[in-house]
Amino acid sequence: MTSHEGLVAIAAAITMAGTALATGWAEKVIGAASVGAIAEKPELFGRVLPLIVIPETIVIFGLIIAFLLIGKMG
Amino acid sequence: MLRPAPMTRALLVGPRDALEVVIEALYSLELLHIVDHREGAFGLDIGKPLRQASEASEILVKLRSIASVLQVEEPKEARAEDVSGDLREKILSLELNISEEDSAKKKTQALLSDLSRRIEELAPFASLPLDLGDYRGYENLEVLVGRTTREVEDLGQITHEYEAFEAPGFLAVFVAKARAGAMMDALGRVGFAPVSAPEGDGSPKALLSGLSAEKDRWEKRLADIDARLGTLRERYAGFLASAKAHLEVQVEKAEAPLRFAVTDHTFVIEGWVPADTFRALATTVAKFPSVYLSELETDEHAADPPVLLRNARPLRPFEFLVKLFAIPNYKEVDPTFIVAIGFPIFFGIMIGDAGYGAVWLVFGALLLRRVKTPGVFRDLITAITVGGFFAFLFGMFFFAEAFGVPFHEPPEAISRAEQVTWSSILSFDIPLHATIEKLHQVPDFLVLAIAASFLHLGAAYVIGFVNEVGHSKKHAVGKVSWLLILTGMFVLIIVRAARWPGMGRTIWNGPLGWFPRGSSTFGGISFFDSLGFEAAANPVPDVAVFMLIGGLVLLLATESGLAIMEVFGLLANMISYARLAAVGVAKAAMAFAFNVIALEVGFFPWLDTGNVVPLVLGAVLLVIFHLIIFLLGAVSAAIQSIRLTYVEFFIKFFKGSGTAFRPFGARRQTEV
Repeated sequence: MTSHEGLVAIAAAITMAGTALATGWAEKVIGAASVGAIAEKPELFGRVLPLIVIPETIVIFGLIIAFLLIGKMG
Repeated sequence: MLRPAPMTRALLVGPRDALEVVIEALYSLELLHIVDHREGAFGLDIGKPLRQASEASEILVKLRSIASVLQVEEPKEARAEDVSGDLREKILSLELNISEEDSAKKKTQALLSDLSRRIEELAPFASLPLDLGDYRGYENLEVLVGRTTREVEDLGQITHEYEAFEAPGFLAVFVAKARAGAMMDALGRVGFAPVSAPEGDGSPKALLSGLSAEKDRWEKRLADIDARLGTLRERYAGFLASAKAHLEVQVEKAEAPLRFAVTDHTFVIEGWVPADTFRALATTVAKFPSVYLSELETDEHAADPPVLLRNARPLRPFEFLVKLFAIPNYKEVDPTFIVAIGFPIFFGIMIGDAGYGAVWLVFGALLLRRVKTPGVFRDLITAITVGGFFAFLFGMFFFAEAFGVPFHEPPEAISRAEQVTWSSILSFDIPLHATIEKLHQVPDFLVLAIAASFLHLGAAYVIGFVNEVGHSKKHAVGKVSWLLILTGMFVLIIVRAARWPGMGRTIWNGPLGWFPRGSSTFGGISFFDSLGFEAAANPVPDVAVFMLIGGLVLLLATESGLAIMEVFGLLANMISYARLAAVGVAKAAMAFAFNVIALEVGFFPWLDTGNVVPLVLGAVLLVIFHLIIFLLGAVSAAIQSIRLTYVEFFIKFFKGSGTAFRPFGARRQTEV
C-alpha cells in the first residue's frame, strides 16, 4: 500500500466516523424529544419512529462516499 | 382491496317508543358507524340517556371499586359467567362484604405502621442499660440522647461533671445543666443527632418485646384479612369481569341516545354502513314497521366516511404497519398491498442468509401457534415470519450462504477460515452459486439497492397518481413528472454502473433491456454521451436525459419552483435504500468475524490435535455469537424496512387522516 492509498483509506475512515457521529447526535436530540412526546401520547409512536430514523441517512451517505473513496484505491 | 371498503350513509327515523328496541338491534348487528349528532344542528337536540343508564353506571362504579380492592386484573379472555339475575343485589351484597374487610384492612395497616414507628423509636434505647424513667425528672442534670455516626472520644475535656452510656451508634449523656450547652456543641461537631426519649416507664427491652409481640399479632391478622380477600378474589374474579363487561355494554346502549338527534316524539340516527352490508341493515330495520331507513345522498367532497381496510387474508397482518403510521383517508389507495410485498422483501434482502431465514421462519411459525389472540403482536410475528421466508429464499438462491458461511469458496480466499464453505463441510457440491458475494461485491449490492429504490418509489408515484387523478389533474401530472425524473435518474445511475461487468450490467441488459439505447434517438446530442464520465463505451441514452429534463419542466409547470429543490431529496431517498446493502453487509461481516473466532479457537485446534476441549468451547461460542446476530440482525432489518416504508415510500403519496370504522356494538379492541 502506497502512502497515497493510505491517505485515501484514512479519508474513508474519517467519512464514516464523522457521518456516524452526526447521525448519533441528531438521533439523540430527536429521540429524547420523541420519547417525551410518546410518554404524553402513546399513539404518536407511528408518527415519531420515522422522525427518529431520518438522520440515519447521513451515515448511509457516509458509507457510499467511503466506498467511492475506497474504489479510488484501485 | 386497493381501496377502503365503500360506505353508504344511512338515516334511520322512528318514533321514540321504538328507540330501545332499535338500539338493541343495531348493537347486536355491529354494522353501523354512528355519526354523532351535534346539539342544535338542524334545530334538533340530542337525546337523553335511557333511564337504566344512571343505575347501570352507578353499579359499574361500585364494581370498579370492588375490583380495585380485590386487585382483580383485566382477564385476557373473559370467561362467560352467569351474570343474569339481579346484578345490583349481588354487587351491593358483595360490596358490603368487601367494604367491611377493606376497612378492617386499612385500620390494621394504620395500626401496624404506628407500631413500627414506636418500635423504631424504642429500639436504640433497648441497647442501653437504663429504664425509660431514668431519662427525665432531674433538676440539675441535662440528658442528651441521640444517634452518633462515629465514636465520640474525650468528653472529659469539656467537663468532668457528666456520665455517658454508649451503644454502637447511640449515646446518652447525663451532664450538669451549666455545662450542657458546651457539651451539646462538642457533640454536634462529631455528628450527634439528638432524639427525645419515648414517653413511659420501665425497661425499654421489656417494652420493645411487648410491642414486637403486638406487631406480630396484628401482622397475622392482616395476613388473615388478605387471605380472606384472596379467597373472595378467586371466587368472584370471573363474575366481576363478566359483570363489568355486561354493564359496560348496558351503559353504552343506554347512553347511545346522546349521539342521536331527537324531537318530542321521534329520533333520527345517522351513520355509515359498508355499502355491501346495507342490505343486512335494511332487513333488520324492516322488522320494525314504524322505523324508516333511507340511503342518503352524500356530497362527495364534504363527506368523510370512516375507513374500513379490506385486504385479502394474507395481506391483513400488514395492515398494522399502515395503521401505525396513519389510517388512510377514505379517498386514497390503501397501500397495504405494497407494504405487504416491500416489508418482507427488504427484510429478506437485509438478512439474506438461508440459515437465519430458516430459523426465523420456524421460530415465527412456532410462536404463531402459541399466540392465538389476534392483535398487533401476532401481526408483527406474522410479518417477520414472512420476512424470514424471504430471507431464506434470498440466502439460498441469491447470496448462497447460511449462518455467514458461503456455499462456495469466495474469490481471493486466503486464510484457512475463509476456505470453510458448506460445500466443503458437507463434501457435496451445492448447485447454487452466489449472484452477489456480500463481502466481496459491495458495489453490486449497492446497485441492487438502487434498483429496489426505483421499484419502490416508482410504485409510490403510481399510487400517488391514482390518488390525485380523481380530483386534481394538475397534481396527477406532478406525480407523472416525478416518475419521469425518477426513471431518468435511475437509468443514469445504472448506465454508469453498467460500464463494468456486474449487477449494473446485468440489470441494464436484462430487466432494462427495453430501454431505448444510444445517444441519438432524438437526433443526437453528443454532449450527453459521456456526461462528464470517461469512456463512451456505454453512452448515456438521451431518452433518459430527456425524461429528466421533461420531468423537471413538467414539475415547474405543476408544482412550485421550490419543488426543484426536492429533486435532490429524491436522489437522497434513492441513496437511502443503500441501507439494504449496508445492513446486509454489516450482518454478514459480523457473522463471518464470529465464525473465524469460533473456528480458530475451537474447530481448527480440534482438527489438528484431536483435543475435545477447544471444540466444546468453539461450539458454545458459535451458539452465543449466532444468537446475537440472529436477534440483532432481525431487529435492525425490521426497523430499517419500516423506515423505508414510512419515510421514503409513504411520504411520496400517503395523506392518512382517516377515521377508523367503529361500528356500534363492536366492543372496543386495544388498538395501536
